[in-house]
Amino acid sequence: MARFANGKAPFLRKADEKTYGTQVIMRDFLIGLLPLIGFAWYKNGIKVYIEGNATFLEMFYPIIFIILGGIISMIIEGLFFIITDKEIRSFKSLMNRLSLSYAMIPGILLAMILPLYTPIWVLIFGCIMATLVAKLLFGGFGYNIFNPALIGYAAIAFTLMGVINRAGGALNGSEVLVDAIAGATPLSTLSTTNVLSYQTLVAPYGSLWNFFIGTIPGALAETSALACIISFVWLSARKVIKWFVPVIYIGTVFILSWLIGIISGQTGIWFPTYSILSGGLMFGAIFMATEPVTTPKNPLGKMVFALFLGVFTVLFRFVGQYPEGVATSIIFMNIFSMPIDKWTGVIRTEGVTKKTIIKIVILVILIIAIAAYALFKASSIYTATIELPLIMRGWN
Amino acid sequence: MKVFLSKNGLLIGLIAIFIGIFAIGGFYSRYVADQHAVLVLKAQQEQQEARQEATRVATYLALFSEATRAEKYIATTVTKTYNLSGNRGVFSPTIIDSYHIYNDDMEVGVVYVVGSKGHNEGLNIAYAIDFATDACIGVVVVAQAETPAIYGTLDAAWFNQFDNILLDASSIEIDAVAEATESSKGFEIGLLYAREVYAVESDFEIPANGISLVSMTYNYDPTSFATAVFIANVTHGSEGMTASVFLSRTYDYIGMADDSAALTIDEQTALKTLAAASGLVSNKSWFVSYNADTRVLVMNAKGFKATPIVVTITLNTTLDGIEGIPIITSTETYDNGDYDGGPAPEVEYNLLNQYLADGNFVVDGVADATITSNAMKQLIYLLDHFIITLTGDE
Repeated sequence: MARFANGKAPFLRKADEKTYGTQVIMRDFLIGLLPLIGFAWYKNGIKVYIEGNATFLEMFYPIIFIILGGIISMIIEGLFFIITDKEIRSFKSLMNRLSLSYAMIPGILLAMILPLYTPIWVLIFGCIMATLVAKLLFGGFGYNIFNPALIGYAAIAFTLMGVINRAGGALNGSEVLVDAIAGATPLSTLSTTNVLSYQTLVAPYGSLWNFFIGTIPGALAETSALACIISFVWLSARKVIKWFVPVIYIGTVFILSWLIGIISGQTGIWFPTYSILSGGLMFGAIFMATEPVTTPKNPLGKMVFALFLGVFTVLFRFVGQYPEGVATSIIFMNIFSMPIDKWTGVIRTEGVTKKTIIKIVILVILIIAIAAYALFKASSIYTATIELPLIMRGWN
Repeated sequence: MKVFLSKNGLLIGLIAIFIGIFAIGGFYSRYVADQHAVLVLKAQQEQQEARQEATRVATYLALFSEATRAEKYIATTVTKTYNLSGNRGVFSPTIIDSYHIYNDDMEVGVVYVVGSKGHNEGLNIAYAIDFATDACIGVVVVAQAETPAIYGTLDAAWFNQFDNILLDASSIEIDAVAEATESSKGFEIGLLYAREVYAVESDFEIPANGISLVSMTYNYDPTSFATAVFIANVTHGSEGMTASVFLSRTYDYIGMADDSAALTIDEQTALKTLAAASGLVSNKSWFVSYNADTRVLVMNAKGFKATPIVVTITLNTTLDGIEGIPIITSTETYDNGDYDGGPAPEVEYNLLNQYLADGNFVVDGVADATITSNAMKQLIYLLDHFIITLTGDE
């Protein structure tokens, strides 16, 4: 009889521990972050310094910021363990405990999704929310319900975004000098317009190629789709993440965006491409939606989770006109990870039966209903730039 | 203490690091944000200037009937000085900006933004010049710091006079508004200067000034003869206006001797050349001062030496002759020592005594002291005619 483990992920055979232990997973995960960190440093530090729009010290700010995020979250966890665990009294025992808790990860991820000019004290606040509130108070690594980095980000976004904007916001030293940039980020531009026009949404930032490379304004390390794809290939090859989760998530957003474009009169392929390349969708799909602790465990559950993420992201972005659609949808769906896991686990093991058909129908109806609602509402909000046909142009 | 540290050292260390990151990180963040703020401000200013520039260029293009684009360039530097209205001195305009104006690829004109001066400096005016007609076809006021109420009298109808001003006219004058003469003059100065630059940068030639010297006389008026040695009678301008002009001993323009409008700088320069070459007057001798109370007249004469001969004369009470002996101060060496007679002022007294003897200003020079003699002859001529003007005799 098959046995199924029902505890906290990740699950690994003891025999695989040396070649495939959690330490290896986290090592590979951090390696996967390197392309994004490297690009963030180049785009917001080195390139700006070379162009003469930043001082030598400013050039290092992106990399210092990211490293500090990891260090701060480690210190917060260290303090927590020292205070709460009487057995930790030496530096060695503390470091051992921290390595098992993967303390740096929330801070590093949080720093990577924050704007460039986030003050350090805001980062500290975010790390406290991410590490202490979202992770440790729930029981620590493996027991948290919500993605810690996203909780930290949400806490900052809801309370201190004005502070960040006054300190400089997301535009680096070279981006502030570009006259054509309409909004601070492409999604903030989308949130202020009802017209789905290439000239409004893409042209101010160059072309879709700029979106792909990542040379557009945005958070510190999440703008480059190319770097995200490189990380995706590495993480998928190393089996750190399931490849289909980001594919389904991004694919859902692509298809729904395309449909919104068609309904609104914008039939170009550029619009869904813009949708998946802007904001933190690629980053969120690869690094957040695949997080093993806060997402469903079984493959079917992951697929359903990814579908819901895609639908909710489109709903929040286009209907709610809220730039933080990815973060909000992932946090929201974290709440339902366990029910989705249970339902899909049953469906997967028992197949389509009288008992499971209701669950299947409910899930399908929910996905379709939310998607339909998003499409319906978005069609009434957005229009495309309409070109008069040639025959009509002389009439006015 | 040791026990305390061994129990809580790690905790204290972590807290200390945390506080350190908070404090140092705060300062570093603030430093980076301040640097960024300066950059943002600079970017905003540049963007605003670019937008203003784009707006200005659009207004320049609108002055031309067919113009599609403008290309900024650095115009040739020309130094010219112009008289300001109301005896406020002179002013040298400058080119602030200059643009080539194109209709597709064909250059059709040029726009000069001239920094001129009306009542105040900062009167920046763009003059559009059409290559086809060599004419100013319009102006745009870029900036001005004139008195608002006065500048406001320059209405649209007044600005229309700039719509077709041919630059090859011998004389260009802008119709002034009575209440805004200084501002009006500022526009005229700017236009004349734009014409100068245009002439330098293209094959356009500014027509010669229409000034001619009719006559020249000596100035015998004691109130002005110290600086205004000559009076030149001229005709000038496109309408051949007559005027009397004060000139210095070196034929430089001093001012107007009548109520005529002041000469332009170009006319002054031309007049100096004409006066110096005319031979109508001599500048070897001149009046220095006259005290009507003491009847003491001081005159100078430029002889052989650089130091002029100084002659101090006291007129008699009836002002028709000389009282006493004139005092002569001279360092002359009489043709560099060729004279065999006594030292200076022997020759000077010789000539003066001839005049005093018979009252005839035509006196004989002294051999081997020609230069000094000629200077004294001129002095005696002036003295004689001064006495005549005092008495009113012919």
